[in-house]
Amino acid sequence: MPNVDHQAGLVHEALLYTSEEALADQVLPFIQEGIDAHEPVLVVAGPRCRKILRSELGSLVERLAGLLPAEDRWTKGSEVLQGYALELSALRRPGKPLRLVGEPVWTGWPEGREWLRYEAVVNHCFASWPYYSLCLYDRQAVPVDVIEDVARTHPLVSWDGRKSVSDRYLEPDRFLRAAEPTWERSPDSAPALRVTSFRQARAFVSHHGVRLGLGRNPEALMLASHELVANVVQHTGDTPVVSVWAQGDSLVCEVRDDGRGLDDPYAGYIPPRPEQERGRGLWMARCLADDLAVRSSKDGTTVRLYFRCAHDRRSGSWTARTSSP
Amino acid sequence: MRPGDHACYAFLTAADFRRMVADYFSEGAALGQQLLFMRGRGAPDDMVTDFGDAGLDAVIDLEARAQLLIVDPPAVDSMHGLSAALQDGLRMMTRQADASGFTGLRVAADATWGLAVAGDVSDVLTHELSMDRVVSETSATVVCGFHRPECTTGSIRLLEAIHPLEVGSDGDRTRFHLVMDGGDQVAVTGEVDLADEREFREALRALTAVVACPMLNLGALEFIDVRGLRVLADVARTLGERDRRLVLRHPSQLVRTCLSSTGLDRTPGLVID
Repeated sequence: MPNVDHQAGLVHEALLYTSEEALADQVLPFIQEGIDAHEPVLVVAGPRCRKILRSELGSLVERLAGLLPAEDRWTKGSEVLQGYALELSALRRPGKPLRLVGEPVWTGWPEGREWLRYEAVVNHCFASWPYYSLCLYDRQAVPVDVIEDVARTHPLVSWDGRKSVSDRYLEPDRFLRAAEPTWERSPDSAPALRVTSFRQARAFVSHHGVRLGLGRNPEALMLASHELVANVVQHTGDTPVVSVWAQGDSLVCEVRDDGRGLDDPYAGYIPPRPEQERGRGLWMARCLADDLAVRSSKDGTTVRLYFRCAHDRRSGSWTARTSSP
Repeated sequence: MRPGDHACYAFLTAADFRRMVADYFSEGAALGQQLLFMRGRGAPDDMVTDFGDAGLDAVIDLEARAQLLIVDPPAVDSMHGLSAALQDGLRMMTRQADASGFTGLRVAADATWGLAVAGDVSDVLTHELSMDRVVSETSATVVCGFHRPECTTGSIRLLEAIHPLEVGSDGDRTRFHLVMDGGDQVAVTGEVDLADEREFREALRALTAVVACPMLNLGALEFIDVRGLRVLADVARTLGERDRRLVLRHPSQLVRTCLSSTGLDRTPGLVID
């Protein structure tokens, strides 16, 4: 049974609405309850939802901890998670639970599927927080396959005002594994390098990144792959093998080691805390790359970075989306 | 080398150092500069002959003119006192060279013994960074020599990292440079990664002993990894605890992104300009 008491820990519910009236009917009582209980209530939503809630709430808007726009807020799934962690931390008061109404406006975007993984991670990393997260999904606008993933990442789902336990819910580590990019065999022709110095590895990756269409901006790729190489060297003492190839419209950079393997399915998915000694490298790599996948066993770990190459109309050159300013 | 340059030379043998200094002094002599050699402690008295043997006598009349001065290091045994004496000495000698009609002052020093006086390389770094300000201010040209066999590899790497220039490095140098750039401004250039993490931390720590609120110019930094950023944050936090701060100027978009996505941008004492 999923948790339904947000005093005791995270309650994570997806609210699938079909009309503006249905949305207002369900969200307003949730907000009202929170305000009555003096719980901080934060709303982060797209323009349409904000408009509806603003007009329905009337003067109650003033009592919200915030009514913030979601549409220009984030460029990455990792930023969503980190952003909420920061905003909610700032609102946390001893003995007071929190309420969030969040509208993931990015679900229809091409990168939205990757971002959904962070909805799964929420279940893990906020598990012990006294926090109710009500996530709004417009059933008319959100693609069917995304609705399926919403049911797999939210323990509670409300359909047409009826709240129920999601029977399709997957434990977050299983969801993460299932949602990773398909693992295709690396081409035999892919150039590979056994790393002997960090500098040499960066030069290798940068050279092939540019050659394979990443344009003149291979810095993000260089840094992300460096962080993976640095992790291997620091934590296993092993010398990793780096290789780079093109796959569809993406560039894949792989870092492989023969170490003991990476046990933590959430490695690199949790925002680092300021005082944390280590564990920033993989998070950083996830933030920089468009996607990242891990395969690990007792014989070693392979991490792949995916950078989409996109045509930049202004300069006429191919550049990585994430490295444009 | 040009006025205001401050270089480090880790030499293998005394003869190597004399040859290098003879060339360096010949160049200065041709420019009408006064030449000052500060010998190491316990060095032989008569080094004029040595410089003559190394070829300097072909350029100037070593005996006849006061163009070449050979001096002993100050007899001070605390690093703090020694550093102050050397900074004052450089200021005074520059003024004297100017008053005597020379076009500037060119200095070479065997500074190996300084490491022994300091006991700790970080004190020498602090001294060298302070010295760097005086060099810029006086427009002298200075080469600090260190006898490589008497120094640890770590010390040499650090000394090279904080000197704006180095002569005859053996290639095992840090990939970053940290150089005083006038006032509180400090330029960090090159590449910072975990291979040089320890040295980067040491150099910054020495810097905070010289400058209260350093402004690090990262505009020409080619690469910095998350461990390097962590070092910056640690140094900033320590400064912040004493109501001081570390300012990062002109960080690249990528550096900004990394600082914010790792949360290091919220470190107390760290200012991102």
